[in-house]
Amino acid sequence: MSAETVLTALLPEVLLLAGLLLLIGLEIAVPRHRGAFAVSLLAVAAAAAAAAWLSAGGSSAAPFPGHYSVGPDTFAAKAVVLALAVPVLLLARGEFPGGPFYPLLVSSLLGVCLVVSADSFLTLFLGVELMSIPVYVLVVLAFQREESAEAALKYLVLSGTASATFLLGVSLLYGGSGSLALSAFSTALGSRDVLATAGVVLVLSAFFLKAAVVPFHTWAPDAYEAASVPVTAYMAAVVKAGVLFAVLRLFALAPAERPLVDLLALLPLASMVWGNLAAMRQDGLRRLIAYSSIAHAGYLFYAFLGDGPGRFQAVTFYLLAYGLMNVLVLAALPPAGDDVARDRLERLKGLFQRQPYAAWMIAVAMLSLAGIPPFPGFVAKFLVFKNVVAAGYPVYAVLGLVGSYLGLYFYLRVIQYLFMAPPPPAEEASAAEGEGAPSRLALAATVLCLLPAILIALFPGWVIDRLGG
Amino acid sequence: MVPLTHYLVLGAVLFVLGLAGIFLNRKNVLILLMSIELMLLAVNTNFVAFSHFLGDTAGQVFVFFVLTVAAAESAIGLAILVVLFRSRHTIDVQDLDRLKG
Repeated sequence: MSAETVLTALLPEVLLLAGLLLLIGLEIAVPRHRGAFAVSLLAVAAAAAAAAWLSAGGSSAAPFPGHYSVGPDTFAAKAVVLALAVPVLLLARGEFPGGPFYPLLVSSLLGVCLVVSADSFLTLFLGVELMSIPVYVLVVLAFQREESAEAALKYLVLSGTASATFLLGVSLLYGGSGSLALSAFSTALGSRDVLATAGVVLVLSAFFLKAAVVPFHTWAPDAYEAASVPVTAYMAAVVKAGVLFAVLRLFALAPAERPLVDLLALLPLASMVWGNLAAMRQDGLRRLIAYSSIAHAGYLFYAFLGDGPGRFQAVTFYLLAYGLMNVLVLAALPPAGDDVARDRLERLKGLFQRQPYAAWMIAVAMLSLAGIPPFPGFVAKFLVFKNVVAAGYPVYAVLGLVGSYLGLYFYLRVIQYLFMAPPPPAEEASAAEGEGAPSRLALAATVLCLLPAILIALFPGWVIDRLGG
Repeated sequence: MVPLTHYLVLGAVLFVLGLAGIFLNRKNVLILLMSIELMLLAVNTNFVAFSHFLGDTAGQVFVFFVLTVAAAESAIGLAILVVLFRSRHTIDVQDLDRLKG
């Protein structure tokens, strides 16, 4: 294989790596430079464009056979993830004028790209770690609150436990099959061997923990709340997507078999119900997003009940719709004097009178996350549940739908705050104080989320075809 | 010659000790980080044993990567611990209760 094909296949990663090296070089050579934002935005946008272009061209290659391969569908997945990172970067400009934020974010994105293309457990492990280790630092980075370090430590310990569990499962699969290829997992899915089944269950529970599925979800609300707004957006949209793509790579086209189906259906179901119920009693927006993301992890894992080809489309489409809406909420959230105040749901009361645009954006995102018809979240949920029914589990599909409509209550409560509730008079002054209009970059980020969302709401079929599978 | 099952039992025991260290520990955050290391080393024992008995070197190569990543993870963990200690003046697990989970 010539160097040119290898470089083309690795183009998104090469662009990210070049950006990363440039960022680190700048940091060392020029003290207090202002170029970090521009460099990382350029690198990520170029990598996203390259991935989209390669996906449309339908090229596929295996630059490192047995460890790393690319195809139109992996390029599409990379394009989705990298495109979601662009509005996150725009959001970050106000809070992080420079410093370590940008290299950490770009290296985490590089990890996501590795995960999406992994063919062996070695690449998958390195990708997942490269994706999550920078995020521990990102959580603590803003350090506007005392809780940040505590949340980062909880996240690190639980995520480290998940990595160890994943590796234990991998070691058992390796012992059973004698190879580190990811196909060992899909072969073990159908086997009755005790060692293989234990390996599969350990690997799956590790990813349940990383994706915050009940009962492994406790780190998520803390980490989402204590991180700064752009980092929360990054964790909710991009890191969750990376974890789900890792599971997609593991399952490949293998169907879920009987004893495993119950594990794959019951924990996500518990996740939907508990996530939606717990979200009802939150009074902070980021904790609400965290519990909603726990519920959404449930819907996403439901997609694995369906059969192979439909699964990739359903999960990628879902991640796109869900990621865009999460970033949109956090981008539209008006800035405030301090971080804790910015987060309070009470502050959203009567926002429509003060900032109609921001109120409309949050409302659209909430309706889409709830899965109300004209919005993209509905099509995404429809695809998942259609596949579950087609695979022959109508009972699980009905239970899942019931669980998902529990979520309507708190999504609609936010909308009621926005449009109907007047701000309490005593708080009116303090609410308006320090509440500026969103910055121009945050407005650009909302537009970047809204335009693709309109596209996938109007032409879902066209977008699903583009996502390959 | 020590049979494979002995290594696997040793690995499993070490792993469970690490897991117990994380979930039963009420004293000190440092012990949490040590427990994670213990779990990763248990996994490494498994990998080396399987690699030896399968006659395949890939498992031993994997161990090097696991060691490297574990080092990176504990470096970050200790750095966060320093930040935590500066703001709270304690590293007791029991005092880490500002967030509800």
